Amino acid sequence: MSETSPPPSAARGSFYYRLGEWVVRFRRSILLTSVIFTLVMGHQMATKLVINNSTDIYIQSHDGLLERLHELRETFGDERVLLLVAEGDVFSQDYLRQLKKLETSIRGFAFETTDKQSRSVFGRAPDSATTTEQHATSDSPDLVAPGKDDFAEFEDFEENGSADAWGQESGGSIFEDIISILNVRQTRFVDGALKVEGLLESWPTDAELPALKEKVLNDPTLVGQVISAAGQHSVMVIRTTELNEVDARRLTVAMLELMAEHERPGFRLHLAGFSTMLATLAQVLKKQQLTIAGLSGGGLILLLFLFFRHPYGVLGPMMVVGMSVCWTLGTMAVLGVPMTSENQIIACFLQVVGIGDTVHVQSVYRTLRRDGLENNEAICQALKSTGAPVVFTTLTTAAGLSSFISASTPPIRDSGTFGAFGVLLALALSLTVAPAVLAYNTKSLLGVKPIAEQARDRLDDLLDWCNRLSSGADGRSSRARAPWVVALGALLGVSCVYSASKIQVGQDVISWFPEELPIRKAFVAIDEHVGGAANLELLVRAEPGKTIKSRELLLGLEKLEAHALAYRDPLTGMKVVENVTSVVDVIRESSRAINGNQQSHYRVPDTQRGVTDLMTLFENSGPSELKRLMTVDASKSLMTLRVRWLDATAYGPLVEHMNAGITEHMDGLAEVHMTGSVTSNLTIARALLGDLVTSASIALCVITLFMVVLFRDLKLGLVSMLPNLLPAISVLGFMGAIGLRLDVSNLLVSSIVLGIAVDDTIHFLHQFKAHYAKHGHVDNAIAHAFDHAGRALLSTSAILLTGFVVFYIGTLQNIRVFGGLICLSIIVALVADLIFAPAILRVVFRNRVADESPVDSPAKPQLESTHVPA
Amino acid sequence: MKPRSAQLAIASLVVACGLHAVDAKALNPNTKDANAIAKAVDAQDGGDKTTSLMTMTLKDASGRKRVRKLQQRSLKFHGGTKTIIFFESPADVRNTALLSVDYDDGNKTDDQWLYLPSLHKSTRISSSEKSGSFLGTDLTYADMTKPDISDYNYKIVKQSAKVGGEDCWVLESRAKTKKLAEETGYLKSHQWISKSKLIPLQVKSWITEGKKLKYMKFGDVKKVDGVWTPFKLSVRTMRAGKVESMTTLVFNRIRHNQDSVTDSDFTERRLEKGL
Repeated sequence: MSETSPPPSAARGSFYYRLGEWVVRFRRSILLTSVIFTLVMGHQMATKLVINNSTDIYIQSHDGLLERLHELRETFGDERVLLLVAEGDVFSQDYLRQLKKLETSIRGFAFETTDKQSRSVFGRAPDSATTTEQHATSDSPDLVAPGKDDFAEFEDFEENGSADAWGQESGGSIFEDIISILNVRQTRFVDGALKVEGLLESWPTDAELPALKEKVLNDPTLVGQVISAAGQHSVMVIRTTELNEVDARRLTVAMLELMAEHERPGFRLHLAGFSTMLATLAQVLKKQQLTIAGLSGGGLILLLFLFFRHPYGVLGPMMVVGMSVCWTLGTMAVLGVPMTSENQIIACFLQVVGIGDTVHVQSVYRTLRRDGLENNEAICQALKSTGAPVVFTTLTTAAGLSSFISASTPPIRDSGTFGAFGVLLALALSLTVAPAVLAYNTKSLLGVKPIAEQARDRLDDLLDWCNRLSSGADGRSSRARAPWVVALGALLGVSCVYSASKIQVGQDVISWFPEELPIRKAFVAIDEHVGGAANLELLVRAEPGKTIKSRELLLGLEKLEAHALAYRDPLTGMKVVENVTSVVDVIRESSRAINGNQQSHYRVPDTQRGVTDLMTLFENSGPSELKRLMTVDASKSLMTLRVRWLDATAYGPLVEHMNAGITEHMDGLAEVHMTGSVTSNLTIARALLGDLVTSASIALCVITLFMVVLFRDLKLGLVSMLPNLLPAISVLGFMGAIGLRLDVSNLLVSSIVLGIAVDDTIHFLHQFKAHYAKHGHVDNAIAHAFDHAGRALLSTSAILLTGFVVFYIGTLQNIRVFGGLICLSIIVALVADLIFAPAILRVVFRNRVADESPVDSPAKPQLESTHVPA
Repeated sequence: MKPRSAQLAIASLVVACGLHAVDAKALNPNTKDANAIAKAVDAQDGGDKTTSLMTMTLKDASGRKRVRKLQQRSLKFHGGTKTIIFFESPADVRNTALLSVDYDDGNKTDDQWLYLPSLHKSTRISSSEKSGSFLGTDLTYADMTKPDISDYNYKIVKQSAKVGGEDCWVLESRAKTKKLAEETGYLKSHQWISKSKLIPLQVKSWITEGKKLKYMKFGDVKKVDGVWTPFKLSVRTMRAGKVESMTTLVFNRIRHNQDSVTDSDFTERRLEKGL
């Protein structure tokens, strides 16, 4: 097959030709410099790149949401509790003893956080207290600024750390509190005295167990909170200090090890909770990514070797991909930008662009070599020939990615910024490092046979068949079939748009895990038996002039609690809110206890003084419990709704229901804000669709503009968008048709799809335009495009398919879906460019010359120059 | 060990620190004998029949605070100490009152009554937690206890340390039994003992639960009725280098050995009568 012809002398003056000359001349320096820089950036990447899958990072730009979350954590502790479920006969001595042992082990568990540094006793560690620093209220300077209070003179304290000090003075358990059936607070009237103590502070005898069981299972404040209705599951709610991603992962691993030591027959343990889920996700992702990256890389190498039949043909593309990944992620590390679920797919972009660019350059290069050009000249000519389309395809991809800079969620913005940056790096490396590698290839034709030995193969037959689908059987310009093929493509497109309109947005991380994985089982167990695995937090701020102790306000909270418990899921009719805890519980419990345990007194007292008195009682008897529910000045309070785990969007109606309740019951009494992981996830899910629509619209406009500029032809530019859009629409249509939800893990698939499609289209249409501009014959120009770009399109598509098909072996469903969708899009993009694009061209363009010249036959390569600059 | 002193007796805290300085000169400032220092401090007789006004301020990590003004009086009796505390302000808690009887016998459960005006009757409170918070502050009931020195091991951590310009020994105390350590909630404590006054000027305690650290500092020490008496106590609880909460007690009009303090001041009837 002919890819090119000997260069006209004028061509030597082109930019890309001169670039080729420069690369050949400085090949050693280029390779050496790039390898050294790769090592440096690789080191940065390995040592400084932070993984952050926290949802907090997604809500930074949503007004007040993150601030409220920090306010919640600073005031009442981290809401991302660990939920440890113990399955067995709760009311048996064996179970309770085992639970006690487990609790003791956890309390004594030595866990050192990674950010622990030597801290001043009275000052704050520079890194550890960032949150406090950022969100400390202005009226608290004496507590945060060392040297301004009575303790400034306590210099000696810092010198007395000994072996049993709490870890160099900076210690402190990471566990804020651990609540289980063993110690859940009980306020009771016993033997003429008020008693506030843990439920099992007095250990029950065998004889007392049945009575205990009856009492506990009939207590609505305990069932669904620390124990299941059947008494076969109890949950330990473990609240930790705010941990970073690494520590959360380490803690999850350590907790699972600890649990394994305590697990016995009749005492089965599960660990759930939001932070556990994220930690498990990060752990599985990390493990899986290594496998996928290894297999994907191996597959790429194998395919590249099959296509180019020589190490030089493999080395260049793999170096471009590897280096661009290293440089991009290294830059992120240097700039302190974390890796998230979103921008982890930057590597995929770079793989697409790096492979696409270098395969095109190498394909032309080997043809030139086959045609007899000397190695260095072939490199220069290959760059001159492919430079413009390669630059344009990459710029188009970068422009498409840049559209995500408009996204409302920071990780998606980062993906846009660094994705665009990375593909530009990949472009630079494709035009320098890959040719520099080829400069050392003096003998190999990289798999292409000399002209004399060349014969048609199956790929040629396939390409010929694609061409003839929209032309006459003779391959000439009887265009009768073209409109039908276009109509078929249009039908496909319309069907996909219709299906895409049904696409739903979701965010259900747990559904990504296989059903047999412990984390998923744990969530199911908690959801089914103990109230639910998620919390919706309500931050209550008393209106000026009022405090949480206001009876009116407490009655409002009581009504709001009833309002929450009355909620049913509109689709399933299922009860979603299983349990509510708030300061109202404390008041009601104390009231009941102080009135001789009479259930009729389980209510807010009738007078304000009665409320104040009970609050005073509890301030004195259970201050640590009260601290979790109300601030010392009674200005803020926390109401926690234990809810079932649902897809994030399914919480939308609940949030609306609660908003209505807040307006109805709390208006004029307190400002109530919903916060926590439930609202964060809902906000993220809602923002995703907006981000997708906005970014896709911008990308569409920008890419269309690029196409028009590239082809310097409005008609061709607009026509090119049809095969570009079809793969993206097909993917969204497919998702809509089979009910796959759009979430953070697949939001950017359409962008990758667009990048792949644009690359293919530009290369194909570039060749068409070059021939059509010179000769004015549509069929011949299409045949020329098939001849010069067809094989490269097949090659890149096959290589990319190999790279992405391995995603399907992943454990996580979202990764498998991601790989599957990319593979689907690669196939659709190929079909769009090899079948629909020629048909569209035949319908839209007309011959400018008589329809008599022979079609370029793939079997008879033409040696005339076809490399018209774009 | 002596049983903990009056559970709710702020006075006892003051008494624990407010010691007659008469024996200070009897102890060699260069002594290496930690037990001798502990004995000398313990041997001091604190005040009795004490009255005071107290302003109690509790702050959380964000600086939000709760302020209470209290009136208290205490009386030693054979076998223990009685203390009564009336809430003076803010207005919504005025006349809430606490009466406690703290027995010297550690095996005997201390008595405590709470008067809540809305109920018009006093209610007995049952509490067995020495490590529990005192009035919701950073102080625990164990902090209110004058310890029996025979239940503790002492050692000198530092022979000389300055606190507010005063030369101090830094003494480490550690419970001899695990049970006692669990009861008090402390692994160990360091006390800065003034060599001239033989009273602690500051204390650092290692809290077992949550592995926290607690710092107490006694300030504005004056001699009242012949007793060295701190008029201010600041307490700070810290974890992982961060302040969790802080309590400040400021005393006014402290008087010891007041004849007006009689047994009749420490009855349920008096509790219900209010201020």
